[in-house]
Amino acid sequence: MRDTGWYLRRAVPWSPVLGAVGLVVALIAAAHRWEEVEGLALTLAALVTVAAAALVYDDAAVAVTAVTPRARWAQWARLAAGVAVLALGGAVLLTGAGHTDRSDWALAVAALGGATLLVALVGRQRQVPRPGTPVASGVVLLGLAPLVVGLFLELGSPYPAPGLTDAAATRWGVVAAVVWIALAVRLDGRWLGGSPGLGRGLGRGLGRGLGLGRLRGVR
Amino acid sequence: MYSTLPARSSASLTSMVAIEARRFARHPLFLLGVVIALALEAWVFFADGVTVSEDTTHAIDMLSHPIIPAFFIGLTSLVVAARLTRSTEVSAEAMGTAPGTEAQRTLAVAGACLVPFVAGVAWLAELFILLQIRGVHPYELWFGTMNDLHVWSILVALGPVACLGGAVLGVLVGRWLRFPGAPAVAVVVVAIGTMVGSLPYSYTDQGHLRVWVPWAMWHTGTMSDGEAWEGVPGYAQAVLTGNPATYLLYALALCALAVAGAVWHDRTARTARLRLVCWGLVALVVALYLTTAFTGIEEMIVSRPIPPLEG
Repeated sequence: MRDTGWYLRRAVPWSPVLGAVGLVVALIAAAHRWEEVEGLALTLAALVTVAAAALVYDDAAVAVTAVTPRARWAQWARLAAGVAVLALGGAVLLTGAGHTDRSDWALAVAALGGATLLVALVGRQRQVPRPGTPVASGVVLLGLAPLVVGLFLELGSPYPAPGLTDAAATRWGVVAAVVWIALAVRLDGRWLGGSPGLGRGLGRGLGRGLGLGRLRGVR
Repeated sequence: MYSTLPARSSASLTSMVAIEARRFARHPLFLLGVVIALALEAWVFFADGVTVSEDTTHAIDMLSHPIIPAFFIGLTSLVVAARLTRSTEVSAEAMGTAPGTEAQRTLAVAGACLVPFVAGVAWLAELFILLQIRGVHPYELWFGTMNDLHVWSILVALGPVACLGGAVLGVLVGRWLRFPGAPAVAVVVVAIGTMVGSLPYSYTDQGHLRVWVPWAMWHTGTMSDGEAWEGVPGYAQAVLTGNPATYLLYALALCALAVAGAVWHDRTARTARLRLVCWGLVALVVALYLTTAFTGIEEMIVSRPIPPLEG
C-alpha cells in the first residue's frame, strides 16, 4: 500500500490534474452565478472532470516501464487514481451550489469517464508516452459537439437538462457497464487467456482509429 | 512520420510554412473537423428551413450558421495548431535540432493557419451554393433586408476568421502553455469565456459592450416556438447592436496579436521593433473594440415575423 502511494505520488501529473479540478470548481461557480450559461458550464465541468482523469495514464518513460515486472500492477494503481479524480470532480459537480438537480450527471460522468480511461489506457499500452493530452482534447471537443448540433436540430441532448429521460439513462447505463467491464478486461490479460487476446486486439483497433500511434512523442 | 527541415539557419520561412501547412492539412483531427462542418452545414440547411406553402420551403437563420465552422474547424484547429507548435520543440529540447529559430518556427505554424482559414472560406462557398438550391425567406435578416457590408462582415468574422483565430490561438497556447492538457483547457476557457463574457448582458442597454469577446453573437435566431423573448417577437429574428464591419477588423487584429504574442515567447526575437508591433496591435485592438461597441447598429434590428405554414 505504501509502495502504491509512493508510486502514484510520483507517476501521476497531479498539478495539471488538480488544476483541472480547480477549473471544475470555477465552472460550477459560473453556472451558479449566471443562469444563462448553466447548461454549458455543467457540461464543461463534466467534460473537464473526465479529461483530467485521462491524464493519469501519462508516462514519459512508458517504453521502459512497460517492460518492467510492475507494469500491470502500476496500471491498476493508475486506474484507481483515475477513479479518484472522477469521484472528486463528480462530487464537486453534484454538490456545488446551483439552480437545478444534478444527480443524473453521475451516470454521464461514470460512462464518459470509463470510456476516456479506456482510450487513455489503450494509448499507454501502445506505448504512447502521454496519451492524456490528445484524449483530453478529444473528449472536450466531442463532448461539446452535441450542444452545437442541438442549436439547429432537435435531436435531444444526451446530457441531463436537468434530468435524463429513461431512454437516455438506459443508454448511459449500458455505455458505463460496457466500458468499465472493457477496462477491467483490458487491464487483466489473464481473463483473455494470454496475450495477445481479444482485449488487446480491440485496443489496437481503438488506438489506430484515434490516431494515437501518430501522436506518439508529441506533448 | 512528419517531415522536417534540417537544422540550418538558411531554411527559408516560406519552405517551413509550406511544410507546416501540409502537416496541418493532413492532420486527422483537422480533416475530421472540416468534414463534419461541411456535412453538418448541409444537414442543418435542409432540416432547419421554414415551410410557408405546400411546395415552398425557405432557408432561415443564415447569420447563425457560422457557429458550425467556428466550432468544428476553429476549435479543432486550436488543438491541432497547439500540437504542431509543440511537436518541433520536443526534438529541439531533446537533441537541439530543429529548423530555424523558435520565432521562425512559430511564424511557420502561424502561416500554416491559413489552411483552416481556407477551410472556413470553403464552408462559406458551400453556404452560397446551398442557397442556390433553396433561397432565404423574404423577411430573413440577410442581403436586401439589412446593410450588405454588415452581412458580409458577420459571415466572414464568425466563419473563416474564427477558423483562423482558433488556429492562431492554438499557436499561442502551444508556445506558452506546456502543462499536459493545455489545448483542452484552452478550448474550455474559450467556450465558457465567450458565453459568460457576452450572453448575460447581450440583450440589455449595455449589449453593445459584448463585442470584446473573440466570437460575439450577432444574430438571435428565429423565435420558432412563437414566443417573444428578450424583446424579439414570436417568429421574428434580430441582429444585435454594434458595428459588424469593424468587428471583422477587430477579430483580425486579435489574430495578429496572438501571433505576435507567440513570437514574443522567443527571447532572442524580443527586439524594439517587435515590442512596437505588440503595443501597436494592443492599441489597435482597443480602438477597434471601442469603434465596434459605439458605432454601427444602434438599435436591435428586428425582422418581420416568419411564421411556418399551419398544420
